[in-house]
Amino acid sequence: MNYQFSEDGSGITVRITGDLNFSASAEFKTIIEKLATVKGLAVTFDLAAVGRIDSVGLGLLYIAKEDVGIRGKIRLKSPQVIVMKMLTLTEADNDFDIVP
Amino acid sequence: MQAQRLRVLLVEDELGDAKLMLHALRQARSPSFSVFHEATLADAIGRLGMSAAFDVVLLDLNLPDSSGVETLSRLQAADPAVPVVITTGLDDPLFAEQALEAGAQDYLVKGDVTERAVARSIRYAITRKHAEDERKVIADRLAHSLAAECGRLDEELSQARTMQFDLLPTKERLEQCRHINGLDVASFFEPSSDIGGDLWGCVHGVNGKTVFYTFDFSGHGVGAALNVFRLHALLGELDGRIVDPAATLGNLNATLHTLLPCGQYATIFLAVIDTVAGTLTWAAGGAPPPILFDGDGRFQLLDTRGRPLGVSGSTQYANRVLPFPPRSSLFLYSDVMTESLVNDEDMLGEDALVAMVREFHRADGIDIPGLASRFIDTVGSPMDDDMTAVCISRVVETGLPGDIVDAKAWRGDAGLTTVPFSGEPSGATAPLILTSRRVDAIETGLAPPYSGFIEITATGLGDVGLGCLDVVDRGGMCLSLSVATAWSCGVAALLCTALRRRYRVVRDWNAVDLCLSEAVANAIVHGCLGVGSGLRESRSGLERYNDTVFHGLRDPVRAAKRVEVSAVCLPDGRLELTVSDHGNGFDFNRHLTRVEPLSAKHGRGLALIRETARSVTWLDRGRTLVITI
Repeated sequence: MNYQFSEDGSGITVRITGDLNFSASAEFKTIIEKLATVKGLAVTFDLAAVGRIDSVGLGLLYIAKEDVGIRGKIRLKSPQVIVMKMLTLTEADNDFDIVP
Repeated sequence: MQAQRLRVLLVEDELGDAKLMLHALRQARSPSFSVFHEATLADAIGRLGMSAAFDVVLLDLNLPDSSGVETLSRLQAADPAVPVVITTGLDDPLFAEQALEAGAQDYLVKGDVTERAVARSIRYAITRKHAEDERKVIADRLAHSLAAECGRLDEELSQARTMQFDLLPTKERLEQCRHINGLDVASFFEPSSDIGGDLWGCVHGVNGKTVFYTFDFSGHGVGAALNVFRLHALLGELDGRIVDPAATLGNLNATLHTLLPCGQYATIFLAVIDTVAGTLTWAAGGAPPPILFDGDGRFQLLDTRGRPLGVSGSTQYANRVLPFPPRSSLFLYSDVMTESLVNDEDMLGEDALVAMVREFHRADGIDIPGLASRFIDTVGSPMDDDMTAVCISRVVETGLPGDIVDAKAWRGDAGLTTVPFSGEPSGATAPLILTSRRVDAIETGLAPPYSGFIEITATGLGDVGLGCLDVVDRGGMCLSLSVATAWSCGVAALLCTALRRRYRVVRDWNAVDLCLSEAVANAIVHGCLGVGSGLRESRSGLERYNDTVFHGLRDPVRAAKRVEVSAVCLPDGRLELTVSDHGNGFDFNRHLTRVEPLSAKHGRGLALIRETARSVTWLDRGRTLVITI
């Protein structure tokens, strides 16, 4: 998994590429650490380039959500079908704003 | 109390001067003197040799058989311990100074000899001689101690140099780079005669990532060497978890800034080569700019602008990224390679080094021994500093080194009989690829005509599960990997792709994908590595979780444990997946009674499998999960 940060007036976007799964925990910890320094801004995870997600990866998104600490301000953008399937199956779409 | 009586040897050829001196000496009472008179240097030396020790010699430098300072030298050679007072007819301060410099303890002007002056001069000479002797003893002791200390320091510097060599990547680590991530590393490191502050290293990460660094501390000697050990230890603590070079440099800088005295700093280049993504990501603090070659020999110098580590505590670093596809090469070097003088005149410079490196660039990397030899020939004698030259090249694998084994024969009585892989039909009915070297051949092993891929791990093949071979025997396929390989190769994605191609009759690929992903993750993390998911509850817990996982991946015993997946399509079109690990087992019955909330951060992988699959059963005390979809 790789990631790229960008920022505009509306908040931070983290574009993730690769698999968001059990082996992504080290990279994701770095993402969370970076997000901790910019608290107060809305955060969007751009998932367009995420090929697959497992329950560990989903758990990482929940840690990010809790750590950013602004409920409803984490957005998951453009998940692929297989990723969306997981988000729906686990009803994560109730906890995150998911935008096409 | 008996009065002190000193033995005096008077050396004087002029009888009148001798009488005057004898008179003055005999007048003296405290101390009193026993005087022996000689008129030549030879007689005086003879007297010193045969009589009891004299307390002092009164010496005229101009004698019939010797003159000037040589007279003093010869007398002192005969008796180095005796104090000497020079007697001279000249009241000349310059002469006095010369006499004292030559080793006399005092001087007397012959025309000014009184009892008191002679007695005072003799006492002074004796006292001064004693003081000189004591100083000499102390000086000799100090010189001896200093020589011993210098010897000890030389020995310790030599040991420090050896230890600095020990910090360099081992041959095994470099082989691991090639084996796991297809990176070929060639290097040349020549330490200076003094110990210096240079080091390069590589750390094998996970998920196709390898970390490379070079750094150079300001200064030389023990201080610089200790700083090298300090930064090496800090990098070692990261234990391959460097995924963001800029963030890592920021943290290292903050730590070093508090540790290093003012004026000490390190230039550094820190890069992550990701062979899965095909990228080179780096951050730097003023290091010499590495040279990046593509496969066609085009090159560019990397931007290494940035503040050296330790200069300012609040420094931010930036990541830079470039593609690093197969056939790319990266050349790292120390500043000695541009700053050494050619013909003791001008520095070699960056342009000349680049030209030299390009000359030794080959299709498979850079000829480092040839380059190092040319460099040393060019600069004659490199400046006295550590010399580092490292080339990292992405290997283009050709062919498929490995062996083929027939799973049916292996499972049966024939045992393990292999034939070398040739790309031609092997004649085996259920051929498996076996290799310890080419994990990049997994995809080939999972595609027909092959029935699977088995990694030869550090413990060999003795622990390959028979269940795997059984499935292959039933017409299925299998994959058996060490957990270290399974962690980094994207095993679920590889398997899903292979299964889709092999079993077109299966309908619900989303379910296959989900079940495989969850089951493989459980087998790797909880089974083989023995790491519970409870830590993944918060950011701080995630840090402890990562530490535990990476510690497990670094543990040779745990990293060699197998994760095995087999799949077979049943006659009714269902797919049977079997996922096994070599961990401690798992109590599925207990798990079945647990209900995790939907928003749980961990612990719901098995629930997702149960919800998605048609059936789930477990064998071997929970080490094996059989999923039907």
